Amino acid sequence: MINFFRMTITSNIQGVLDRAIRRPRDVRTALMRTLMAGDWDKLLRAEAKKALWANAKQAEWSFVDVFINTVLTGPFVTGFFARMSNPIPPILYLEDFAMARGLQTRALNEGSGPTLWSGFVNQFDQMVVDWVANEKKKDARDWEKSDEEIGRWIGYLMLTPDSKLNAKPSGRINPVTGQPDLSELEAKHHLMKHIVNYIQRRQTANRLASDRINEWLLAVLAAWSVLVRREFPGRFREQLKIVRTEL
Amino acid sequence: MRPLTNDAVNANALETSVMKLMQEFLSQYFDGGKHDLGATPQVQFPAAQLLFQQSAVTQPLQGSGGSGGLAITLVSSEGHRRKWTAWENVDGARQEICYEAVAWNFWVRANGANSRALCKSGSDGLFGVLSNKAETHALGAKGICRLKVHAPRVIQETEYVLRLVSLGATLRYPILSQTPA
Repeated sequence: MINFFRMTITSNIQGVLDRAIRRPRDVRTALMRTLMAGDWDKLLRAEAKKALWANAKQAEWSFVDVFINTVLTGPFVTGFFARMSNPIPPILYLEDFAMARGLQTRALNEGSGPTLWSGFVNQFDQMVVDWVANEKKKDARDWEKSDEEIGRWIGYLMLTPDSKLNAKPSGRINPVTGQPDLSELEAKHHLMKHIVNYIQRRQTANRLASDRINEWLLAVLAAWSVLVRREFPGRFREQLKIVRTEL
Repeated sequence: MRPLTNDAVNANALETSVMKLMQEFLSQYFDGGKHDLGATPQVQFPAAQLLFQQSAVTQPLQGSGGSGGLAITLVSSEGHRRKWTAWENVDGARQEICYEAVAWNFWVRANGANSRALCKSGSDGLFGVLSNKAETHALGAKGICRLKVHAPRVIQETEYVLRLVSLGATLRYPILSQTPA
């Protein structure tokens, strides 16, 4: 026999309301955690590497890591950014180096320290020294000088305007050739074809074509785009679940 | 659709078994001939060199005339590989089965004469095959199921024409450490 029966109906409306109030905050927190750059950095680098390996010819494999090293990720407003850039420096011509030397000289004369141009000038000087060391036909005149000294002198000749070089021969007789020594201007013009040829070869050897660079950058961008679209929803749901279980 | 002869997806050789199946499946179509595609008869497919992961592409791509050609490289994509397991009846015995969500990128590239048309027909053909349930049933029977393919994207159209087709799939394979119950 039933003596007593009681049914209680309660409402969890307060919990629902609390949850509804918390919801935008939870979503914001989960979004911020999902978009932490650190989590994506490793993933994007690995994906970029796979995309480049898939697209590289065997002769280009050595460039893959050079490209990967340019990947940069970091926070951006309420999310993150990821960037990959072209690591191959542009080809510079003798005129570019001459302009850099002129601008650097002017800056130094005005009391400046090392300038942005110093790097280009040093690059040129090093290439000339390398040419002296590797390709210059040396004779008795060069024996008492180091490659650096010869290179510095040739570099000076190459990047100095014709009007500032001595056009008159010294009148001395070259003990090796038995001919009169060349003037600074004649020496410059005599050496120029060798130097121009060498710096072009040095800069274009072992280099990716512009089309390939574009292709690689676009391929990685496409792979990243697919990856982020695919990964984001799952990661967001995961973070939202974690946020909701936190006290 | 022809059934595949390679072994099903296997936990002991996960990558190899998957790649072998994809190789067998795709090579049935990309041979330069005509094939029925579901209810569509005699669809023309180009001949393609099939490559996997970091395989080096021959340069220039080998075509029938030696003047270029088409290559399709399958690369597994990074990302979280969601996994779950379920006990199922397999050949009358209880067996724990693992399901694993994966993603792949197909890099389709062509060079030489008519490279744009070649790359386009290659990527279109790939999309058509992979989105056709009647054709991909053969893959599903071997453990590569729930294919979700995205339409081809043009990446580059210069010396080498490059397109990307991305694919999501679920691998299904028995967990071999479990003794069938």
